[in-house]
Order: sequence, then structure tokens, then C-alpha cells
Amino acid sequence: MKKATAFIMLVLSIAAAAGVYIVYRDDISPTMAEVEPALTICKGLIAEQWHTPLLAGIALFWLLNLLMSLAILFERKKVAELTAEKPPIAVEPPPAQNDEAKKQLELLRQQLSEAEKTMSETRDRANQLLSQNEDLKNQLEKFSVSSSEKDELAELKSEIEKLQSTAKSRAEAAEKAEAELASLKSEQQKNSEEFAAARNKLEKLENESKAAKKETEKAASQLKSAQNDLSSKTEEIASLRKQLEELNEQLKSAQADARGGKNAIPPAAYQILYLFQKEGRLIDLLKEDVSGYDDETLGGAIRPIHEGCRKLLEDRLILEPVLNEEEGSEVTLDEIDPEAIKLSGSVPASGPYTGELIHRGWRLKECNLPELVSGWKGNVIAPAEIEIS
Amino acid sequence: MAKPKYLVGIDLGTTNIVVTHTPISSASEGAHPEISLMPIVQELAKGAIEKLEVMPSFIFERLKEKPVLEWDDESKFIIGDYARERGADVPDRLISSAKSWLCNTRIDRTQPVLPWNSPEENSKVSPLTAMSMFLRHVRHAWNAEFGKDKLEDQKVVVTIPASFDAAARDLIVEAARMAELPDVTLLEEPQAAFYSWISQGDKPWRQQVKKGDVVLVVDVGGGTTDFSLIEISEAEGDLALERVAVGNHILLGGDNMDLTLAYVARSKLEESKKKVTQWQTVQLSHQCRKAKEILLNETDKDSVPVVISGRGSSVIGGSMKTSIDRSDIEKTLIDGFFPFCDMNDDPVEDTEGGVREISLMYAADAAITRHLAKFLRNQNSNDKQYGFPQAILFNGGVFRSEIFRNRLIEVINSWLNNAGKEPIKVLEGIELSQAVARGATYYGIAREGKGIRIRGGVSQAYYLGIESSLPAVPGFKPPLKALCVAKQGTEEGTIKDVPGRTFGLVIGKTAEFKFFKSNCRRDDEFAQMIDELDETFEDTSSLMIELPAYEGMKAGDLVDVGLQVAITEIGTLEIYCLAKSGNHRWKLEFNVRDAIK
Repeated sequence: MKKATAFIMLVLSIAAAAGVYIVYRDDISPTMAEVEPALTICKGLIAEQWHTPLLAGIALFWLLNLLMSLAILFERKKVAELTAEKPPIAVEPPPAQNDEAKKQLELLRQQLSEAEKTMSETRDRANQLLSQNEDLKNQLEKFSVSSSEKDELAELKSEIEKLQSTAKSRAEAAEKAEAELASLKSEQQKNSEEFAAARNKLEKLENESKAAKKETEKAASQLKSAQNDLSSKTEEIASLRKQLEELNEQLKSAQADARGGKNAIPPAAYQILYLFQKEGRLIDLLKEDVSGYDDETLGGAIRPIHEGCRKLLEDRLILEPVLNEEEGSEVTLDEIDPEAIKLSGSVPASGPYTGELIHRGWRLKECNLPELVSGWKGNVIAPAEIEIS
Repeated sequence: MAKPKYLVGIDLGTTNIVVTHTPISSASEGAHPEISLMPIVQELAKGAIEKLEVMPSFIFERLKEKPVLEWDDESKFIIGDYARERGADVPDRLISSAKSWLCNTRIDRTQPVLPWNSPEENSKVSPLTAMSMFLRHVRHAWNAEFGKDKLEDQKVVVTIPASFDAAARDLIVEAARMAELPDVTLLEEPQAAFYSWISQGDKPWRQQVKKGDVVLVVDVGGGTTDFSLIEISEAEGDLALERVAVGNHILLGGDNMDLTLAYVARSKLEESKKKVTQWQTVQLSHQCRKAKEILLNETDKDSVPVVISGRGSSVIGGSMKTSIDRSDIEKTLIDGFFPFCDMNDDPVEDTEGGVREISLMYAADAAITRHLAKFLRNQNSNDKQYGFPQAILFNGGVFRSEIFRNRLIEVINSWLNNAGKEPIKVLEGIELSQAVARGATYYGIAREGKGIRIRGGVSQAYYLGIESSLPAVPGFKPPLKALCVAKQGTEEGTIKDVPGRTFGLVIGKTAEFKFFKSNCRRDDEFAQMIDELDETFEDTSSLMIELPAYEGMKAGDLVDVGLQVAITEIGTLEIYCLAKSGNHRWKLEFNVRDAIK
């Protein structure tokens, strides 16, 4: 702003000088004829008595003006030159600091790349764990599919499913850790961006290098904490991996059990035995040596047992005959399901089959066992009883 | 609050709880609504759960059984079927008949006293809490079944014995509130059975009764017996129903019958020098019930063998055998519970006298017919002959057996015959063990204005005890007078000021009013003063009030108050004190804590 004003002033001063020149050189150009009257007035004025003081005043003003304009125009340069002379003393240290910061930055960058490397390694590990998990799942699936004794393995399956779900949750935890790593990485990227910004600042404002250094330090500490986080995550993953291995062991033992171990008994087997004992004391009856009792005692004692067990067949294990015809009557069937009909005697190669119905057969129509909330615990079907008086 | 979608009826029985429901949208005028049962999920042995149509009203404090239902209460207590089963083994931890304890005026019903007389180290709950536990279990079971249509948002009717007095009704509402069911309506069980009879379509009720008939509802449940009289009248050209009388609370029911028979069998076994343990008596009771049903239903059989198995694993070696004969049934059950008697007979009073240990007030006389005779006799006054009903409606599992129905009809007809009346008509068509729950849901429909309603109102007349002002005489208590504050049959939704009576109450001091009820003084008018209290009056929980300081009145000041009586829409009785000056009203609370002296 100042400079612009000074420039205008300078131009005006030169113009004024030119004007004076024109005034004093009336023969300079015919074109000047147009301004003749103004020139005449000027000349008249100059010719007046106060010619000398006015001229002197104008000349003085002009000179001052010129000087001021020139001073202002060249002042800036001078100041800049003046300051430029100082730097060798003031700026001398920064390059060294700068170098130091640069070194540090280099170091940080190195650390960053190391961290990234560790991260990618961890990620690989997590992926590996995941794929192991997947393998495990596949194994499980394969196992459950290949098992031909599905019914017998029902309980095991549920246990395996439980294991599977635990493994899955572990895998989910690993995934979560991975996601956390990714976020860490992005955080670090952000950090490096901050570094870049710091560097730029250093280059641009070398005299602010101290602040930049501070910032660098801050960033470094952030990086350190990030690295700490990373190492703890790595540890977590390691422990997850250990747990996964343990699960694998458990799975193996469960698989072993399934091939004939103690856990191979389905809960319904326990439940049915439990109910027959509870409602009808059937296990007690079958386990008791009845050879010593006379028929009357035996007959009477069986009554409540028969009643209780029968009720169980009415309420919970509902049976119906395979064939509804009277036993002893003649039946004819075109086709038979060998699971439902057993043929005996002189059996023709193909139907229709005609013969006497010996046994109507039974099929389990309904099975209304109470729902077990968390499977069957242990292998007790009738607890020992102690009465405290 | 979500919009109610269902009408729900809860039969809160002494021994069994049944829940029914119908969508509100299906309730329409004149139709026979489809009322469904809601199976109630319950814990069973061995960590199993099952939905059962009936929930036994039993609570068992857990020993080491692992909870399987993740609901409040269930972590510490087993409720329902398994509770009953475990309770047979460990009776000290079993709470049974909580509903009967709720109307026992000799105990503080809000204090943890159940299981009664159990060892100190066992946890105890109050009868009030026990009732709320059942209702909360029902709420959880409903919410598990219906999801977003929560029970607390539905229109719920809870049944109570007709004999419940005003204080016991209040306690049921309180129990429901504790179970987070803030809006329930109460309905008397015999009325519920009657509604169930109205709702059935097989034998239209209008063809079975006519104007002027009085119907006797006899409800013999598992643990209680309840009588009610319903009059068929006419209003606006259609038949109208009015419940005109209810009986007293009689702790006598079907369970007593099974137990009686078990003791018969037990004494038979002991005669043959066999020792029967308490546990075996439980088993015997089951066996006897089965034997009873066989003998009652198969008239050609004269004897049914009863065998109890040995308790040890030697099931045959340890077994004991006896038999229940037809004569046992006739002698102990029919003649024991339904003996022939005169209409002027009274139930045999407890003759032990003197100090009696507090317990449930089991009826001293098992003869249901004698209790009925007393009830009916008290309903006859000069102008009304309610004591000679024209029709009878049976309810309760006991009456599934024709033999009991026939005997009761025979006895009633002998009374009617002596009085020169027509024999009684039997109303048919209800399902005896679910009728109350179904009727409760139908009452919900009737309340929606889509079915006929029984006008019932207050089941009994209520009186405030007032001491006569007489000069003090040492050693002589001034006689009590009774002020009638609720006339029997006053309808729901009535609010009345008692005229002409002003009481001076001191602020900050507890004032207590003696309170009486009567189920046979149908002629006493509202605000009438009865000078002498005879045996037709019965003590009930007293009323208490403590006036707070208000409007510049401070403790010790005397305030003049009048009385206001409200019969609420949900079926409770509320009495208020009204300040004579100013616009203040305070509710008198029932004193359910202190025993009635």
C-alpha cells in the first residue's frame, strides 16, 4: 500500500517536472497550442511578484516528494537486505536441528515401516487363524456328514456345535483384532501424514523448527503408544491362537468320544430310562431277582409298575400298530416296506403277498419328551435317595 | 402402552392355575366365542421344561436344583408342577394353599410366614408375595408365548373365591400390581363358572332357565368350597342375571377326599402290621385317587387293589398291597362329604375349643351338605325365598363323578320336598375343571359390552363398628353399634357419602374402625345404624387411617370428617374420610397385619 502511494507520487513528481519543462520551453511543440491559455496563465503567475517564493516552494515540495517516494520505494529492499545480513547468525543452528529432525523423521519412518510390517505379519497370522478356523469348521462338517450313526451322535453334535460356536466366536474375536489393527494402521497413516505436514512446515518456516520438533516428538510418542497397542494386540492374537489350539484338542477328544467314548449316549436315552424308572419303577423291576417271589406277590406288585409305564406310553411315547387288521386274519399287500413289514414262511420273489397277520407291529407315532434346556448332565437316571429325619 | 389385543382370564385356584384367552376382535354380540387355553411353561425334573395346561399352585424353595427358567423368582424358587413333586419329598420347603392363607385373618398377610412352621433357616415369603409370584410366573409364561402382546397390556380378569372379603380382594389387586399387572379386574369364581355356562353353545342357557329362577352354584374345587345364588330376572324384555348371595369361605375340597381315602387305605395296611411312611402316604393318595375314579366310573367293580411299591430298589420285595372297596367310597366319601341332613342342621363346630394353634382354618366338618344347609337357610327372609333354588350348576373336578352330583341333588330335593317346592333342575354344559378360567375370559367379553353381565355388586354387606356413647362404667365396655356402609349388591362404580355421620379425627394419630361383614342381612339399608350385633355379623379386617397435616392444620388438631364409600369398577371396596371443611379426602386402609381379636 505504502509502496503504491510512493510510486504514484514519483510519477506525479516526474509529471510535474515535465510540466515545468513544458512551461519553460514554449516552443517545444505546436500541439501545445491547445494548452496555450493555461500556459499563459502559468507564465503570468510566474511573472508575478511572488514568482520566486512560489517556484522555490514548488521546487522544494517536488524535491521532497521525489525523495520520499524514492525512499519509500527502496526502503523495503533495504530492510530486507538488513535482515538478510543477520541470518548467518540466527539461522545457523536450524540446519543442524533440521538435520537432526530429518534423521529422527527417517528413524520414525523406519519405525513406521517396521510397524506396518509387523501389522501385515499379524494380519497374516489372523488370516491364518481364520483359515484354520475354516478348516476346523470344514472338518466338523465333514465329520458330521460322514458319520453314519447320526442318531447316536446327536449329543456329540450338539457339543461339537457348541465348540464350533466357541471357535467361531474366537474367530470373530480374531477378526475384531484384525479390524482393530487396520484402524491402528490408518491411525499410523494419519500420523505419517502429520509428519509430512511437520516436515513441510520445517522447510517453509525454518525458524519454527523448534515447534515442529516438538510436534515430531509428540507424533513419536503417539507412534510408540500405537506400537505398544500393536504389541498387546499381537499378544492377544497369540493367546487366541493358543485357545484355538486347545479347542482343537477338545474337538479331537470329542471326536474320539464319538467313535465310542462315554459321551456317545444321546440325552433321549437317559430321559427315557429316567421316565420309565420315575413313573413306573421299571428299572427296579427288571433289575430285581424275582425268582424268589410267588406269582401272587409278583402279580400284585407289577400292577402299579404296569400302570405307570403304560401311562408313559400314553402320554409321552405314543405308539400305534403298523397294521390295523386283526391278528390272525389274512392280509394281502402288493408292495412292502421291509422296515415296516417282516415276511416269513415261503415268501414269493415279488408281490402281491398274502398271509396271516401274526403281529401287528408298533411304530412310534409321537415322542413328547420334556424339553431339556441344557442337555442331560452326567449319567444318573435315578438318584440315590437319603431321607433326613 | 400397547393396545390390548386379548381378553385374558386367570383362574387363580387354591391348588391349580389355569389361563384362558380370546382375541378382543373375536368377541361379538350373541356369538359363542372361541376361548383357548394357554399352556403355562413350567420347570420339570432334570432341567427340563414343558408347557402344561394347568399350573399347580405350589412354590418350592430350591435346594440344589439348577434353575432352567431365567425369570425373577425362579432362581430361588420352583413354581408349578415340579414344586409340587419336590414338595412331596421335602415338605418344609413347600408353600401350598397360599390363597387360603391370604384370607386368614389371624396372621399378618404381608409378613413372610410361609411355609408355615418351617425351620428358621428356610426362606419364607408372605401370602401376598406368594400370590404375586404365581401371577408373575403367568406373566412371564404369557410374554414368552405371545412376544410383543405383553400380558400387562391385555385386559386381564383374575378370579377369586366369592367368599373373599374386601381386604382379601385388595390384597389380590396388590399382588397383581407387584407382579407388574397393574390393571386387573376381579371376578368371583362361582360367577365365572356361571359365565362359562352362558358362553357354551351346546345347551343354550336361555332354554334351561326362566324368569324368577334362582340358580345355586356349587363350586367344590381342590381346596375350597364356594356357594353362590344367582337370580334370573327380567329387564327390558330380556332375561337378566343378578348374584344375590355368596357363602362363607370353606376350606374343604377334592384334595381332602383323596387324603381321606389314603388314610383309609393306610389304616388298612397298618392293621396288617405294615409300617407306612409319610412319603408312602403321598403315593397312597395318588393310588387312591385312581382307585376312586375307577370305582366311581365303573359301577360293576366292587374293589380296586391298591399297591404301593417298596421305596428301595427292591420294588417287588418291598411292596404293600391292600384294596379300596366300594363300601369305603360310599362310607367315607359319599356319606362323609355329602351326608343326608336336615335343612336346619348346622355344621359341627370344632369342639376342641380353647387355645387353638394358628393354621389354615380347615373346615371342622367335612359335610358339604351341612355347610350348604346353613348357607341356604340364611338366605330365606320374609319376602325372598332364595333358600329354595330352582336350578343348580355344578363346578369343580369333584362333580365329574355322577355319584356325588346325584347325592347332592337328592339331599337338596329332600329339603325342597319338605318345604313343598319343586325338585331342583340341573343345568348342564360346562367343562368342570376349566369352567372358571373360561368364564373369566367370557366376563372380559361381557365387560366389553358384548355379552350378558351378571349384576353382582358387593358380595356381602359391610358395617363400621361404632361405640355407643354411654357414661363410663368401670369394667363394662360400651356396646358396639354397626353402621351399614355397603348394602349387599351395591353395584360397581357406585360412590356415596354416608349422610348424617361426623367423626372427629386427630391429625397424626392413627384411628382404627372395627369392620364387620354379613352375608345374610340383605334388608339393611345404606347408612342404617344397627344397635345390636348378633351372630349374623362377622369380624373382618379393621380399617385404619392416619390423617396427615394439611392446610395449616397440624398434628394434634381435631378435624371433622364424613365418610364416603366407593365400590370400584374392578370389584374392590374403598372407604374414604372427607374433611367437612375444605376439599380433602383420605382413604381408609384395611389392617391386614393384625389378627382379629
